[in-house]
Amino acid sequence: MVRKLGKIPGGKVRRLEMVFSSTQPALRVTGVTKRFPGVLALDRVSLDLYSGEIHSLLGENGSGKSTLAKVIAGIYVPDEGSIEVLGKPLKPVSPADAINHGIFYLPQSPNLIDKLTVTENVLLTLRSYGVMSKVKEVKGLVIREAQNIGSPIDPEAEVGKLSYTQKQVVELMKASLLGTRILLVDEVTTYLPRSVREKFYEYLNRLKSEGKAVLLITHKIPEAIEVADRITVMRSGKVVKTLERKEFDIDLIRKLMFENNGLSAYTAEGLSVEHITKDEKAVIRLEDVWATDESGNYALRGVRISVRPREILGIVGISGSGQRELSEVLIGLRSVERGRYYLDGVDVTNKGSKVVRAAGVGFVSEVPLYYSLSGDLSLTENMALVIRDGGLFLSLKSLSAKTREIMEKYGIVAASPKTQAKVLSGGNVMRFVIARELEFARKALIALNPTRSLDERSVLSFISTLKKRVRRDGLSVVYISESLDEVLQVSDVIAVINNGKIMGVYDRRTVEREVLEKLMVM
Amino acid sequence: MNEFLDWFVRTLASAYVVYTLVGVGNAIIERSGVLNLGIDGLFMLSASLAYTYAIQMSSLIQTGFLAVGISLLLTAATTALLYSLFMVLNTVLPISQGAIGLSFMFVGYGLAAIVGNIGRLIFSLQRVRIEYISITHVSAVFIYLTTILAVLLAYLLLYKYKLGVLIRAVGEDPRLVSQIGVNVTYVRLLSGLLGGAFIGLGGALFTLWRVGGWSQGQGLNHGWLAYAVSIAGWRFPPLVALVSIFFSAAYVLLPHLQSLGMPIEVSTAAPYITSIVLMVVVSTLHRKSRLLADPKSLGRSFYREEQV
Ligand SMILES: Nc1ncnc2c1ncn2[C@@H]1O[C@H](COP(=O)(O)OP(=O)(O)OP(=O)(O)O)[C@@H](O)[C@H]1O
Ligand SMILES: [Mg+2]
Repeated sequence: MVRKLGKIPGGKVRRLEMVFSSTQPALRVTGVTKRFPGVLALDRVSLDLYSGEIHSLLGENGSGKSTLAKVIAGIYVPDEGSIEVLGKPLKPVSPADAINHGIFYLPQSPNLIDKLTVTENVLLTLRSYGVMSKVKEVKGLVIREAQNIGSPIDPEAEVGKLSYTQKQVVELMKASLLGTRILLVDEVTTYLPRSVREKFYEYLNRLKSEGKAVLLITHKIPEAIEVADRITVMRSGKVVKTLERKEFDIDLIRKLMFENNGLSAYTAEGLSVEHITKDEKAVIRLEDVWATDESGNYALRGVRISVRPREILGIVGISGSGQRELSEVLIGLRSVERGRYYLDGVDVTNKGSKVVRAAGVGFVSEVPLYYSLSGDLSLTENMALVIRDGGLFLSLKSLSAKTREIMEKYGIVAASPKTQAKVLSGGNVMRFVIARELEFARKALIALNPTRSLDERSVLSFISTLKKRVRRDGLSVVYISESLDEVLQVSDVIAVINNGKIMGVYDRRTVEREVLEKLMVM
Repeated sequence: MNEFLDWFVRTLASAYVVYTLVGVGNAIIERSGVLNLGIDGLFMLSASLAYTYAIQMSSLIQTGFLAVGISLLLTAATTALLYSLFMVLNTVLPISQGAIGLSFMFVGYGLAAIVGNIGRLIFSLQRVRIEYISITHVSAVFIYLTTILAVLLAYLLLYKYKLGVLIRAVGEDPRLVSQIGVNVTYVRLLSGLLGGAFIGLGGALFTLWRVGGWSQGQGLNHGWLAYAVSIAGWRFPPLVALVSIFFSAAYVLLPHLQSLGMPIEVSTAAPYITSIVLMVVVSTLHRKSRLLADPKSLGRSFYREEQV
């Protein structure tokens, strides 16, 4: 299956196509161990990855999936064990070596420099271009590659202004232009809207048919079953089992992932509608709110919502319908062009997030490290950012005890409260921000796709804790999500958002799923 | 009046060239995320180096013009090498950039005195004649044009070539860039070579052209003046070159207001005050542009903690 070797017209990029025998794995990981201070992240992990296969890596939050991918990509150096590419040892392991061996790591948050353009970001990684090559030289290449992937992108666009999906397209362009043979995909699909996700899987299948190997990290079991040829399940840094296609079984995999512990203990609890008195005053009220996105177009067009105490308002819609902007307006991070925002009857329109948060409103966003956490600070210090009592003389020591308590209560896997937020696994970062905001919120909570990077068990435990807070403490919640199932499971009242407008508000007990689905895509 | 104008144009041109070259050199250095606190020491050192090189060269080569030309290039090359060392140390050592920068500054001051005095010694032994570049209209126009070309070159390299993309990327997020397989140390070494050459050339022209001689302490604080120009021009070569016009004008003109009755304390502070005013003016004019934004990782130590 040798396609092209050497130069392609108009570019100096190598397109290496190798002939793989089906017996020799493209990538072989043997007995890899990786320790971090206080954590055994990988415990003698072995894994074979063949060319022409999509191999899914499943495991609960913090089980070591990303660490394994980073070891293969040369970002972390393993303490023990070896890695072979096509039978040859990969050593010494550095990102450059891995790239030279045709390995490309597609991380959850794109490895791109926001202030550079698309072309500049691509050029940065192309090793066949020397320091004196012109940026212009690769522009054509970028345009062609974007077409090839099926998602046109402006090569001059500043990357920081692109959507998440577009950024991942840029990453894919890099992978393809580098002549990648082994693609490591870390949770990327979790953040893609459904339609894009399907296109992405098509693309992965194309790579597979070209004889490339794909390691697909996810914690969505159904998706893994759908696209993978084999599935490897990890738990607490160990490989539990590798399954062939014919062995795929959702219950079996779930059992392997969670060791059967706890999953059934968290059944979604009953609804809280009966606790709401009809004429209670709204805690959160938006009246005819208009707001623009970064490029100045209206992202919200006359949004009207109200949420009473002890009520969860679910807002569902396909991605890009204005959800992010709505959540930012609600927490005071985005200014409103027209309309009013009332909190407990007090007008807080354009008063900023300080006022809103001081009123006791918490915020759980899909990208906590962007909105509400500082990656360089420790967990305790991140707690201190939101705790208001104690002021400047707040004792870090007492806060550290509180942090430890919260870590236990919410099952956050980290070495200690002193651990920097950025070294937590993706799911644990999310768990931490959920924990902090749930503890902090006194009046209301705004949640934007809060369960994206959580595994099944964490999702259930989050939802049950959330409901407890709502019932017991009378919290009001705006729960924004792209998943209709989740919104149906969580909410008391459901609103559909489409193109920046609220299309209708329904009682969870009486609404039909089809009605909501229709409004979402209308 | 004519004489005054003539004097003004000539001094302005020589001040302009020095601050522009050094300011642009600093922009190239700091765009890669390394705080250039060594600038004043290294500038002073290059001013001394130029003098000593010129004496040595003049004793070897009969053509004075050639000797000075070679000294300019040698100073630029030496400063480039010193800066590449500065950049590498700033990248590989687990020490704050502030500490390394200040060390280079003081070492630069010390070496400047030693190097200059060595030059003096050679001079007293050999009694050579140095053909300093005299500030004529011809030399001013020629050097001025060369400076503008150099600014253009810096701009192109920083914004139109991969070299610049690498430098700016490293200045934004060295950790991320190293994770995608780029050698951060190498990139910063290159930016040190390039930026150092600019700074060295500026220092050399300061001694061999603007001053035309060397004395103890020569060049002190002029590195900081150029630094102010660089920052006021947002570390963006064309803007640095623009800001430098006003700054240099203030520098050569304002002290002469003394004769018009301005107290000396005010007139010596004038260039600094001008630079602050310019920074305020430019910052109110400038819209948020990705080309002008500060390098995100400037001053942050890059020690490969992640490579564990
Ligand atoms: N650089 C680091 N320093 C310290 N600990 C780390 C570091 N990177 C990962 N860890 C720890 O290693 C463990 C495994 O993390 P990893 O990111 O591999 O999990 P994961 O399986 O990808 O989980 P998730 O689904 O939440 O993304 C976690 O306990 C995490 O806190
Ligand atoms: Mg992960």
